[in-house]
Amino acid sequence: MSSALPSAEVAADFKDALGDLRMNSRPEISTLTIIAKENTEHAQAISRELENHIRTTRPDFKLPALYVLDSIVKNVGSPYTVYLGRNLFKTFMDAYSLMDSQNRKAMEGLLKTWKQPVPESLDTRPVFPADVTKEIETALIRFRTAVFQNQQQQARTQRQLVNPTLPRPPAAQWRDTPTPPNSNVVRYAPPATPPVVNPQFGAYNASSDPRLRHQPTPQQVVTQYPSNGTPVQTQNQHIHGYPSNSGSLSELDKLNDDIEKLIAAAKAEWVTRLHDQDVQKRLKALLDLQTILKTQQLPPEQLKLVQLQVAQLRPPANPTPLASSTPVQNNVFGLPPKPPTPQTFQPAPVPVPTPPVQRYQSPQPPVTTPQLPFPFLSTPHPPPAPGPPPLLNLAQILSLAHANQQATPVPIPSLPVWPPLVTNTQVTPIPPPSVTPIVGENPLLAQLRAAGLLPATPTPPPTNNWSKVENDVEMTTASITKTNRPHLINLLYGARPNQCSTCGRRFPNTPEGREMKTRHMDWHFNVNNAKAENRAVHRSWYIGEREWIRYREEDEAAPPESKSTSLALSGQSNGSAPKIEPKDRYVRIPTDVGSATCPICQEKFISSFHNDDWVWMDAVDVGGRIYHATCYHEVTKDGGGASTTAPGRGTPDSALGKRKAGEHDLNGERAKFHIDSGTYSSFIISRLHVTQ
Amino acid sequence: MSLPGLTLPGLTLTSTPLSDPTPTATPPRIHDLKEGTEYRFEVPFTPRAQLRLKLTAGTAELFGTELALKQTYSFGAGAKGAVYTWHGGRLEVQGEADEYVAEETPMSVYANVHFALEGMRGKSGGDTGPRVLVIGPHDSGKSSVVRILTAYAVKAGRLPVVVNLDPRQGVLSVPGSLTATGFGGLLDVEEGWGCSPISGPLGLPVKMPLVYHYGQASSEDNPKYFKPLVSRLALAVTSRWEGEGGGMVGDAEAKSSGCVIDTDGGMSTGKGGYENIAHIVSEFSVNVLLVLGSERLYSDMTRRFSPTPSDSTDPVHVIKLPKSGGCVQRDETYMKTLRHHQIRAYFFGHGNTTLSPYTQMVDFASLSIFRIPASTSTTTSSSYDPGADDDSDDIYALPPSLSKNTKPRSRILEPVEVGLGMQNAILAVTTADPGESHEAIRDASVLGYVYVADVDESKKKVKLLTPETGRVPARAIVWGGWPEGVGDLVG
Repeated sequence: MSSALPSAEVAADFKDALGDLRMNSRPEISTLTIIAKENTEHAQAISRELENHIRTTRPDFKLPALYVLDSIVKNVGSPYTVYLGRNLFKTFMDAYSLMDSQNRKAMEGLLKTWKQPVPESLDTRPVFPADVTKEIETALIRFRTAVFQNQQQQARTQRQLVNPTLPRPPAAQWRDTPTPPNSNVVRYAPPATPPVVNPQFGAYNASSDPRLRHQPTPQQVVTQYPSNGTPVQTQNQHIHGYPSNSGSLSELDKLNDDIEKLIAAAKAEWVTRLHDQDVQKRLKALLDLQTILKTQQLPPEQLKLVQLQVAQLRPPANPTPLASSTPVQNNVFGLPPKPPTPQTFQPAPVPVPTPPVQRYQSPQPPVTTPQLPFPFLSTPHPPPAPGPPPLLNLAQILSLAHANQQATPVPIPSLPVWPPLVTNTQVTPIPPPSVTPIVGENPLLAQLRAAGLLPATPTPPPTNNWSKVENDVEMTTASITKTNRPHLINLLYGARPNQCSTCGRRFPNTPEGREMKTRHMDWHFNVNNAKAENRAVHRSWYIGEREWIRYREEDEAAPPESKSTSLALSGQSNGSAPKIEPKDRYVRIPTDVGSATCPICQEKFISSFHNDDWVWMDAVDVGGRIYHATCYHEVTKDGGGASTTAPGRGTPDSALGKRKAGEHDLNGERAKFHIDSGTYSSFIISRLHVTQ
Repeated sequence: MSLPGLTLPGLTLTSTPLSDPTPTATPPRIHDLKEGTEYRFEVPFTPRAQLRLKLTAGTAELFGTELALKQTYSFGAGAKGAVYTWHGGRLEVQGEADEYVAEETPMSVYANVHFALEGMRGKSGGDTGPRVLVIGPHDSGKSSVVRILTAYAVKAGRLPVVVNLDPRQGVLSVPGSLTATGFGGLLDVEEGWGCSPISGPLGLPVKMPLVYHYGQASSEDNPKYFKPLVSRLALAVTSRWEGEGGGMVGDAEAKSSGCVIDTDGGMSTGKGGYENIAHIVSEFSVNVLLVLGSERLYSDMTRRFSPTPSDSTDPVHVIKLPKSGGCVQRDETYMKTLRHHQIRAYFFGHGNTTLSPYTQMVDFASLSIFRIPASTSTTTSSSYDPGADDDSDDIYALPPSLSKNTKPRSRILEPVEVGLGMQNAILAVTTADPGESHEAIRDASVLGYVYVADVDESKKKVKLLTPETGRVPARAIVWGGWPEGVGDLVG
């Protein structure tokens, strides 16, 4: 920022714009890239702002900012590659160390693309010099190794602590990940949706960059993190796995035993992560479960269900794996020290004063516009309450858990995007807390579900077949006034998740839908281009009855063939072959001529807008010269249709008396309406010319 | 929702360019809307008032048309509207407005109507989609419901035809007009419906209205003029759906979508009984009758249209709908401003679309003007004498006050000379030849409107404002006398 004032100003603007970037939004990233591109003379200042921003912003905003970096270096290149490359290691690793695993994968994907040349570019050099990326790669490998060793160690401890069967290596849990509390089950599920691509917001993704479309997506190319044996385990394996292990103990005893162990583990975890409602809730639910089991006789099938769930719960109930982070980690990445894990087991869910240890906290700036998610749509992760959390009663937990369920219908949105209401059926159909217990279901299961120990609801798997959503509304006052049907509202929103950012029109998330959107965006582009010409426009006359009857609304997003066929059909079926009259002919306005005159009558051509283009109506291009079509017709009509090379020699019948077609602007309307010329002239024009 | 006022941006269009820098000075107000609530606003009538809305998170829709994320929508002085959200959302608002957030709305009911209609459309296959008539007293939110149903239908990929039979406010045209329009593209959030064709590009798909001129304030004022136009519109819409014959193929997409018909409040409180409603129902084969905000009307309609066993094939569903709490009484001053805004927008455009109309001097003699006699009296009631009526089916009841003041031989139209009384009037240029019968002129659709800017009786010249350049088409011109003249249209 030592440069002149303008540089500081540009940098400040850039900083402001960056501050608004809170999610993976392609338009915003493009805008920022354009700013960078237009201000290459201030590249140094801009680069510094970008680095600062990536370093200081909240972890969930870091990835979008990194995408800005990516977009700038790929689209603008030098000098940004130079400036940003200098500190790339620090920028990258600082951010990487604070990210959750989803975002890390995305970052690894980015890194991969940086090692290669910009796709479709003539430059064969990689985006960043090899030594820069190599350094980062080496660090990443060491990091993974460290994490892996750490997990191994954890797993061993865990085996002794809980159960000899199948200890699952726990995923690295970071205190400030947006991982939702109730995601014990889904946490290990493969990401069903790419973490950053939410089509609703037009997300930017390094791999969705058109220039990168031949690149594999980050999810495909990157080794899954954590890179241990089986990071992705399905629920079913456990379901099948558990009962076979139930030895001589009776089912119930075994269950009680397991629950006790889980409670102990959960307590241990809870002590270390006091403000984590996730743990707290799990613990509470487990205690409730224990009480119920001890006081009630459950039917066998329900017992079975409980067993299955408990079996699944075991691995995640580990103490947080980062509790004892290895020195390697700290040395390499300069991470703040992790809180030592007090391994004291507290007796009961009694609030414990926060241990005065340094919390692991991201180096957040002193509040740069707190962007808290919305309470009512519920947050992916409730902001951690400082200090010891109050004990919640079950009702509160239920409502909390309910809120969480609503927010997390899909596996872990890793960015604070708006809840993905448009991508999943499960969002809205969840009834409000008061009616949460599903009819006919055991309250216990409902309770577990509410506490996040069971998957949200036993709803059918999200289906993309929206046509199957049952529309049960009858055309009767009773049926219509019968409360709302959120699943139907989704037909208006979720069924078409792909939204145009300019006008809000939605498209289905199908190949056809995407094609439609492409055509739609082209249309916007053309309209804006045409508008930019800023010509005086006026309202046109309305069309007549018959034209209206034959008129077909055009969908700018429809495939081009269907557009023309509907018109052709309507015109030709009338029996009148579309004969182009001279006055209806037009040529595209040549770019090299300002306003030319007709060589025959020396009058100017009249411009109008037709077929998405500015044209001269009543004009014809003959051998490179443009004439009024009517003039040309009059001049050449004696010689029949033969003279296509040059106008005839004859004098026009009446140069003065001749009236240009354009004088009657009605004629021009035909073109704008895309109505067959024959039908139009057969009606309006014939009527209008009666007295003229 | 249902503020019937539509929106009136650009009421002060000529004096308030969009580059007005003042609104950016104040920081935006943030409204976090919970799901199922709506933000209602009324922009005051102060000259430079402008309200800007931006949805920064979540989803929201204005009368059924979804707002795009992070796009700024501007509303000018006098605009009223409501932004509803199904999922919650955050609105950034700038500018002065009377505003509040309402938690109780009938939106879910209106949405249910849409889904019920979709069910009928789904079932129809090759059949005609539902024909929906919306009735109710003034300011009960009829137009808003029509807009919502249209917007949802468009969103569902349908192509509904919207028929506006409310002369108090035009759809894609000036007040006093009756229109039919196919909606295949998004509605305009800011302006209500969209824009009829202009000579340049439009940011939203162009809307193509078929326009007839009624030229009176209420459907009850001149049923003799109103009903034929309804029949005419119904004929056009049906022809569009079915094809004209002679091998002409109908518009199957529009046909299966059906139509939505808006009416004026006068019809539902009408002096002439419910004859106009009955006429519309029969002409359009209405099979869904939505009654807004009036128990009595609903009761009357159920009695009248309750399905009898004989015609059970396509019964009329009479549905009662709640009126939105957002409906506000619009007084005459407001309605007048609304009319003037619509007329101004016809010639000069609205929002970002600025149009350049054309002014020209025309000889009196070159214009063939016909006046609709009903508008001669200052009271806006019909002056027809049923005795002079050449139509045999005289089914409507005459207001008793008329019997003493009727002309012996009244005609549909009266040819008139241009006179000073025509100053500031809005004239409808029809497609009819001046020599045609008065019935033909009455039934002819409208090419466009011209505005009488000045009348020079000594020179026998009239100064006209026309939408397009070029001379005024030599067609029959109809002067309805309503809407009233606009004084300040041309500076």
